[in-house]
Amino acid sequence: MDDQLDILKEFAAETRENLVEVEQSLVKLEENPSDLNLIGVIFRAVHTVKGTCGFFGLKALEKVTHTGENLLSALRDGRIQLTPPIATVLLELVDVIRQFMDRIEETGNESGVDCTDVTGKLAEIIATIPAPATSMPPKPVAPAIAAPAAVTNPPAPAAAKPQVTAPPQTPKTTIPPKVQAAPKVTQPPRAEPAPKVTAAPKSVAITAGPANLQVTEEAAHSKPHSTPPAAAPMHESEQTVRVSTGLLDQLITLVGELVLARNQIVLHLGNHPDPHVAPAVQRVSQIASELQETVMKTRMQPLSTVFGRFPRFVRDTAHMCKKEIEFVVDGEQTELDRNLIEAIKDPLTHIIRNCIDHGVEAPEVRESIGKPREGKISISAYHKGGFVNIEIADDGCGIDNEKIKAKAIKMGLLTPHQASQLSNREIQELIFLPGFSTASQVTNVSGRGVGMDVVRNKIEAIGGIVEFQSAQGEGTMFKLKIPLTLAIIPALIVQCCGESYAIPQGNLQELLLFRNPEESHDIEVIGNTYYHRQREHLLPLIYLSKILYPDSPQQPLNTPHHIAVLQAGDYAYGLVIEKAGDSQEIVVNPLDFLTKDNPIFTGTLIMGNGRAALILDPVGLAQVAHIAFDNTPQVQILTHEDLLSNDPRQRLLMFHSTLGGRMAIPLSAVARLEEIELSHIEYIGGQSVIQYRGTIMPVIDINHFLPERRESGRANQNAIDITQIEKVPMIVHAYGDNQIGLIVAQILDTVQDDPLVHCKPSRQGILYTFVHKGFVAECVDLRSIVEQVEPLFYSESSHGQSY
Amino acid sequence: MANHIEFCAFWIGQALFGIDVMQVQEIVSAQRETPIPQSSPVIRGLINLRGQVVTVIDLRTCLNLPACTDDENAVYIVIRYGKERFCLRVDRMMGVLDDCLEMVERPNELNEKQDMPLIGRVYRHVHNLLLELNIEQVLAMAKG
Repeated sequence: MDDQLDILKEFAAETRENLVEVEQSLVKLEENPSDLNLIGVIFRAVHTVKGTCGFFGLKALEKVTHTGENLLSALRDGRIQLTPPIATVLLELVDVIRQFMDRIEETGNESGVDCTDVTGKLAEIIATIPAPATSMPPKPVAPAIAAPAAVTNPPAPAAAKPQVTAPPQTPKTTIPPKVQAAPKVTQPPRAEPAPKVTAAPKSVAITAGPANLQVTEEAAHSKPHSTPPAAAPMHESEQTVRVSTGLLDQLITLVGELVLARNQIVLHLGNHPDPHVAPAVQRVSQIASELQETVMKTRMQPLSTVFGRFPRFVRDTAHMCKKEIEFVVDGEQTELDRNLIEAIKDPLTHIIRNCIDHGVEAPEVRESIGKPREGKISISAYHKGGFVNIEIADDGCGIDNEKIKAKAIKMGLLTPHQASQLSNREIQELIFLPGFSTASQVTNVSGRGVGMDVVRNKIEAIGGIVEFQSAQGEGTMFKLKIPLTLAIIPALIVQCCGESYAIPQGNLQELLLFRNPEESHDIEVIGNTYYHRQREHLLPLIYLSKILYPDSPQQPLNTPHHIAVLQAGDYAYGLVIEKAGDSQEIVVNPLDFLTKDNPIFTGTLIMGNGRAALILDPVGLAQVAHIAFDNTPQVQILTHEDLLSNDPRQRLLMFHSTLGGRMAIPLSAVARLEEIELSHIEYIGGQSVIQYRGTIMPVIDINHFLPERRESGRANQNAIDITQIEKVPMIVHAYGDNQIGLIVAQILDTVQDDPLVHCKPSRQGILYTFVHKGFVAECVDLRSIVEQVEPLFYSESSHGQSY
Repeated sequence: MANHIEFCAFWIGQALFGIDVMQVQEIVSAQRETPIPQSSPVIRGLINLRGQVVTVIDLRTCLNLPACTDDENAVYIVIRYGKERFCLRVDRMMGVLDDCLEMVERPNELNEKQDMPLIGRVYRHVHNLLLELNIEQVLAMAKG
């Protein structure tokens, strides 16, 4: 019984592969309906399924494939032309067969698959086929064989017609296969010899007609001239074998272990040289390396396993959207780790769907703007720089920036003012925000706004990158960069609390060393979070030791340490570590069932010394440390302009102004936080300045630039008398080389800005007001205030250096 | 011989525990584990078992016992659990026992103990009680 199940599973796996080919051929056939080779491929595959069903007693599947085969044979004989509706039904047949395969793999039997719909549709088409009697004459390809079939077995052609409208026939269920056998023989060059032989004796045994026997024999004779098409696949099957993926994974593990053992021997030999053993070790070493390389190749699969599905998908989707599309596939032989192939399937499908639905215009529109009626979508793959690059391009309308902007404003993500300041590229980045869709109408196909963000997340989850270029009216090109394999990644090994941890190199932006504790004055404390001043940004810091062992005593800030600047999604932060080691290629193992829910690790590895170690998850670390402010990615802000414009999801620095009110400015505008003594402030030409880091920097109190709302004479109870404070906090705001200091009463905290809680500005110089933790706060229009002091502060010409 | 289960028997403190040998893949001597921060306290760490990283659960911690002062004899019992596997760290091995008799009534002193959920059936082996370890409960502790 187990054996039978194994064979069934193998049958299902093989059939699935064949179905992919059938789908592709069907789509091609639609373009070129007279290609007999393509029909032959489809016919053979369906026929093989039908033939095998006989062995396993899969009656329902046999019946539906048989009906399909009848239609295919009519197509092959030219009795009917392939039209899109027929192709659709045949594709549905493929789907049904696939359902059967799912069912068979799961349960070992075929019950529960509903195929009456397809069978009915097939029968309907077959009913429209002209009677074979009239179309028989042009059919004989090999007259010598066809003639005896027709002459010695008169009932056969007669029976061929009533097979569908079966009732008048004798109730023998075995009649149809026999009927099928007869016309098939007339096409020996395309029919596959092996299944035919199995089918033929069956019909002989039941009908006991000598004529049939004769036909079978002749068919066998005809085999020699008809071998070429059949010979090629035979040859191929001899070169490959099916191996379970579990076995391959085991091999990879063992080879990995072998390489580690090899490393230990080599290390030992380095310390204790032995001329007798050295040559042998060297050979073992070399073989182990080659073995590892070779075994790793078994993980690779050609991209055709994914790309193969697309022609059909494009065809169906295009029909649904009423678009005409030419689909071009290139580089499908490019190989990729099979786990990754699985992971990119959905994102690719989504992008292609978008190209069809949103990218390519309707045929009439295309004609009216002078483009060919048929849109073109191409997908190509190639290796470059250790990555597999996949490009999906369409020649459609491109991405309409105005539409995106309008939508973003409508969704409250941007104010019209901000929208006007964004560059084209930044606007296009908006389509990666969750819930963002510019489709004015939700269609069956797309437009629900779940999409590009998922695509980006999925691709980034496997260490890939999504980019795109779009020229309005000319089309869009998406470019996916996928690492070759997930199994081996470069990683930085770091030490913390006596253990080694790996940080995926892909997340690492840079590594900073602080040898000298004096440099620690570059670290700011705002609320509970430490920040590192990095150029003109404040980088939030996470202490690895504090995350790993929250109860352990906190590491003093003034010991030498490294800061690894990590990118987690759209956020960057600094991970403070005790010691950074080498960068290594590591073999990644997934976490097991007991540890997989751990938030801060993504996997394990075995170190060169044979010890197990953990791989840190930069995103998880940030979440545990609560600096992953929320899960929605933020629009990446790249230009200096944007440091000042109020990006909707930015972080704000909250402070008490000298008059006691709560105010906020974008954290991105803050270069440093300092404390100064008021006595150090000097006045020149009515401007307060301070000597700061070798330059003279203007210092202002924001309150002096805001209109006073309070009735004069009424005392402000909240006002903080800064003259009583020994050291006054100062926010340093920088733009290029220009700097300005803002005197405040107290630095409070950083908060996540939320456009939904914005209220209208309270007065001039304020962008908006909002409520945070029960207190009203004002977000200061920093730019307008600074320009009152230094009109040229933000002008390009005053940039001392470019970034 | 109604209850002919072969037990892989081992000591934790003064108590004798047993696991059906059919669940046991192998016994390996203990080594230094790599700790897994932010995981259940009963998870002792990771080891490299011939190229596979395997999680080690400390049964002493599961049973609320203080860390063993003398762990020279400590071993890992590698348990097969479906397609997965994991290690139980125990104080020392006793061996495989096939002559344990199930006790119909639980001894009173056992019922007073807090770690009851971890114990399945109770058997008698010569002079000792053998407590069958409830693996599911151990895993629940490790996951929780």
